[in-house]
Amino acid sequence: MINYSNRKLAVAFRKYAKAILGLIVYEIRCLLNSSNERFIYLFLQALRVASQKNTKSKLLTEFKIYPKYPKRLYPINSDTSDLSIIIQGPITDREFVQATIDWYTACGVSRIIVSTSQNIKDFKRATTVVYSTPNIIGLGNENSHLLSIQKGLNLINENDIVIKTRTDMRIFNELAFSAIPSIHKKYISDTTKDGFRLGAISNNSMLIKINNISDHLYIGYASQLKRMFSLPFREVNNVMSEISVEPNLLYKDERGLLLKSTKFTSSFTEFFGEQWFFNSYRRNCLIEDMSEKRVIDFLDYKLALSRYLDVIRNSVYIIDPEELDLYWLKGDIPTLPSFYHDADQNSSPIPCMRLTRLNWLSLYYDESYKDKILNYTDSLSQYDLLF
Amino acid sequence: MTETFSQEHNYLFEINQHINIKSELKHLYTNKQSHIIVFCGMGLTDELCNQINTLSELTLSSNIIIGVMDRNDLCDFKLNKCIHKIPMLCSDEEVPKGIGTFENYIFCELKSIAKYINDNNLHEYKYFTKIRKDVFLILDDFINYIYSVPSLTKKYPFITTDQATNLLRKFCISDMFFTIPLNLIDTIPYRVVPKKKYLFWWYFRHLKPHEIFKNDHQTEQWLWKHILNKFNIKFINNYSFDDYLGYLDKYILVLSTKQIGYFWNRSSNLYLHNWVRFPPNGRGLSISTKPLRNYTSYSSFIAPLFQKKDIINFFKLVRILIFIKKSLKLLITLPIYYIKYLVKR
Repeated sequence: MINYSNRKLAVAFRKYAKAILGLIVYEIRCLLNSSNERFIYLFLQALRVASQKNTKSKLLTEFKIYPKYPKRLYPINSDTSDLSIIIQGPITDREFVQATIDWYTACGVSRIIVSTSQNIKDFKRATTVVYSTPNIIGLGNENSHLLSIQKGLNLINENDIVIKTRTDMRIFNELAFSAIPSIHKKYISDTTKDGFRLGAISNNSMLIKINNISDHLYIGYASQLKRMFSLPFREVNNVMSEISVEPNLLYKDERGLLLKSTKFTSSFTEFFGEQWFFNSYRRNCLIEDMSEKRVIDFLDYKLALSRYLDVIRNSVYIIDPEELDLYWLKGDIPTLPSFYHDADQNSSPIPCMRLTRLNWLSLYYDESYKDKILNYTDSLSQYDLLF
Repeated sequence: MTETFSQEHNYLFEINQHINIKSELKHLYTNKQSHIIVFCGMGLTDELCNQINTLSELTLSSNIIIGVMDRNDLCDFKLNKCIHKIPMLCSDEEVPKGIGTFENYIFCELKSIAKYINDNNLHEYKYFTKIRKDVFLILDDFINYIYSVPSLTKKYPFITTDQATNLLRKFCISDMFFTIPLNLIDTIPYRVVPKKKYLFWWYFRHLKPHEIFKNDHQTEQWLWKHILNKFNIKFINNYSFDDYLGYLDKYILVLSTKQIGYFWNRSSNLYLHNWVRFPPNGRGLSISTKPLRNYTSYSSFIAPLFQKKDIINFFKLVRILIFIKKSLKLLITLPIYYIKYLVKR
């Protein structure tokens, strides 16, 4: 064992040497990082040149590159003092979540809450909430999802704007991040209790499948979201007892029991977790209870769809992932950044049915757009798959 | 169809593969449109040719005209008969020499389209969309965009893309893709070389420090200044930066290319999401944008941010700093450029 001198001079010298060494390591890392960046660039450039020669290819390869540890570029201190973020879900990559927290902190978010059922060490610069997984087994992980949001919301002031995201997502766009409070305050509504709309993302959001608004990301005032998520847990058996469909429409994957999306199965308006949550929004957050019956008569589909489209137009606004530069690790779910797909969709795709920002803007600014959608659904058979 | 892979190293890296499957695509509506879409420029590929053919088949009954500018580059491609091949007013050599190599080609193409519309009496159409030839169409999304245009134009008379839309320069709005009322296309004059003897500032106009404050310095600015002037805004030159941002938010919908339904892949099979944003030597590859450069991308999504005084002031300050930076650079480089000019003369 080496006995270091504890004299003041020796301690100061060691500190100084350590600082110098740290600086040298930092500079070398920066240098390597810069050259690494250039190598990636040259590699992509070479790929592009090669692909230009291949004129017969029908494939487009899109690359997206983001820094693992982003840094702020705009010295803008926009009003994010009332902005809180809930990052919820399983921690598959702790380093990614910590870097996300650091990024959001740098962007001026006042309160960051990580809500998870995993027993993990607290994250730095965030409040870590660990809860026990509910005993009641719901469809997939919906009860755990609900509890994680409830636990997070309990720690947030009623008047804060809350962004609910997942542990495997990160918003990279700094300007969009700064703009979210202004965007949210811009979208007022006459039909909601607090006068503001619910912000949602277009991933997996549908126009003609009732209540199918993505649960991946929500934006709303804490008071509004608390009302929305004031829900009791539900049991998978109770949910399934209401579903009477042909057996080929039910299937199972790693997420649990699922129902294929057809025009007919759209009559189950609370089957999936996101439908359950959005119907709760319609029940608890609007001045008038606009919720849909859990199971509607298929003959009433068009009428129910019309009510759903009214709610979307008057009480919701939609954001596309590209607008946020939303990165999604997608480690555990075989889905896309912008929409779901599977083999069924590829065999018989129906375009234009996603609730994207473009479609939402059309619905918002053009009253006749709703009728066009309703007329379109007439052309579909009840077996057509909706994606 | 898209496949996604993501991988982690020093960067977060995501690769998406896009392919259009020729399947039984169904239209959202069967109502009549009133739209002329023209693919302009150069760089048509076999894949885009197939996509344009499919597009024309799918929109055949919807009163949509699909046109392709004939720049003597179409002989190797089999385009459907229903696709309009629009000839240029004059040969490429006869296009007046302007600033930059290609600026007047864009204006010549627009004039050619206007003439074609006149000759074929197509004035009853309402909307005109200009799109490049070196792109990859995501057919489902692009068709969705076309059918959304009548709804979107109830609020916004103009729709364009965030690529080449520069927040820091007034009226620097993308010329790569735009949808405008049809009657506005024949409004853009050529920008020709002046008949002065002393042309130093013409050839080295990028050196001018105050160009950041000008309204018609770049091609995009020249184009949009004339379109908007014809629209109804006669006092456009007097707009302050604040007024301009308000005007942009009110009248022009700026979307990402993916929202519209295409990728600007420059005729290749590869598209880098942040390609247009980084400098040419590969530095800053992984950052979304860089402040204090004379380019900051703008989209309508972030428009509410620019209603705040402090944010507007920040970007005003950036413009001033760019002006100072360019002034200092001019002092240093002016003799070199002047020698270069004299040698050239």
